Amino acid sequence: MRLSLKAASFKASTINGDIAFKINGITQLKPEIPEASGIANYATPQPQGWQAQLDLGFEHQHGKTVLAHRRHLGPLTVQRPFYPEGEVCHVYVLHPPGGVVAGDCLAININVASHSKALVTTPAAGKFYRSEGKQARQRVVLSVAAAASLEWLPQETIVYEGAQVASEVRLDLAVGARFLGWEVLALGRPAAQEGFTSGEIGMNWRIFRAGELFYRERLLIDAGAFAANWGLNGHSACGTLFAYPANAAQLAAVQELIGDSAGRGVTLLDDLLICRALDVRADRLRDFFQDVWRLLRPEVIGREACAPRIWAT
Amino acid sequence: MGTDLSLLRLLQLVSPGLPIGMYSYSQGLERAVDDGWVSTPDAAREWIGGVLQTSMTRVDVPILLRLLSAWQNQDLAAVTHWSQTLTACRETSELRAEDRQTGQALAKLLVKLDMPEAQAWQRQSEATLATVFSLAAVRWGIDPRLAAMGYVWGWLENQVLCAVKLVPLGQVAGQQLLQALAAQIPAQVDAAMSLDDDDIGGSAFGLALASSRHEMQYSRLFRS
Repeated sequence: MRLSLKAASFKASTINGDIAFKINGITQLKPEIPEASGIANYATPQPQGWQAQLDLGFEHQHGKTVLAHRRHLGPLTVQRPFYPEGEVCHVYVLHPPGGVVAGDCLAININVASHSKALVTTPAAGKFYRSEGKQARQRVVLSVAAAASLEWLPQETIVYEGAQVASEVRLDLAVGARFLGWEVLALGRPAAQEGFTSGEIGMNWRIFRAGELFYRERLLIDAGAFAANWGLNGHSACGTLFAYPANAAQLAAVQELIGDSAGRGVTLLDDLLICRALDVRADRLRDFFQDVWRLLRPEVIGREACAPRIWAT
Repeated sequence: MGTDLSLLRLLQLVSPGLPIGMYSYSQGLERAVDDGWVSTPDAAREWIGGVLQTSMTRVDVPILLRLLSAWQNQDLAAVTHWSQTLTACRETSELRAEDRQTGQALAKLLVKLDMPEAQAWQRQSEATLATVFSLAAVRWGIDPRLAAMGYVWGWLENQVLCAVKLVPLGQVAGQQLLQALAAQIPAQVDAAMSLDDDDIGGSAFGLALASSRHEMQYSRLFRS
């Protein structure tokens, strides 16, 4: 309930100035005309679902990071960027429908140019609803140039029992790029006595370092993998956090933070730190990742933590 | 190449007596036992069987098959490409180190067994066990499908031996586990043979988590 209220308030502010229309009882925004491209590829509601795309380009101009390119098709957009800590550009990605259904396809492309610093988060948890067979797809492409930094910190993704999800993240890191990001999944709705006895989630991460594939993760979570000891061992929340570049001192700091707590682990692959966690509660897992983010941010991104206000509401 | 001799060569390659130190790696199983995730014969069967179906069938075997044909075609660029891909699929530092160390150790051995091509892999950081295993299998004329089954068998036997030591299991329970899981290997290898390049990849979250936790385990017998 708390999350949907937040989503609703953002929907209102986004609608202001844009033309809204209703599809299946849900208010949607009419897509803007793409600025840069000459292709008039309007997203129209398809019988098979929404095709939504958001492209963001951050650049360093006159001493600060600006959102220099912004293009959206269908119901994916951003709020006006703001600067709570000066040079880092904070952006909230909005998905006004508030949830993804079978047949939907969301694409997010973020490009962070040299010397710019961006932090991207979401105002509410993402949701994937039950499907009768069709997949809902999400594809995220993040590119970080030399001497640039990106923080990709979306709130957790809630996957309802019976959802069919294919999610893919591709991260391209140039030499000298900096990145902190995470992905948190909350399966079923434990409060509604839901487990995860049906449905299938494909989660892909590919990380390229200077153009070469450096890390590949491909999780397939179904009822079997949810329950199994080699899978999620019955935990409804799982998450992975990436930090780049990192070193042995930061690895040791995260290990110390973990201490004796169960269900948390961290490793260092060359200069890529990966922290993993399982929990029965997604909020506890999120709090843990925020602690890791606070711990690592000064050295990985070069700034003290400045939590987006939306996390506190 | 005679079929009889190639079978014997395969037995040599997958023997626990092969001096590459396989016995010192548990692939996260030691931590899974320590954390109480694997504490019974059934839980050991669930763990090892799950890793067989996710990682072995979707990562190791399809890549091993590609490495076999790369060596067969003397395509060193493809050997390097698939070795890098396999390394990229290892989710923790210990899993990468294990693959590198056993691959390099096997390369050193093969040089002494008159396979000079192994020389370059003795210190190569992207050496994996599959990289060098596939070289030996091609030079010894082992049929690719049998080579893949042997590779999985070698892995399975080692995992079961780890479970016998760690859980612990009795010797008979260990053999029962081996018998049950080995029966799945032919079908798993056949499934792996039909995977396209785009379908390669299979992570087990619990395995990756246990392996990262093993890296900070206070007291341990195994190197992974």
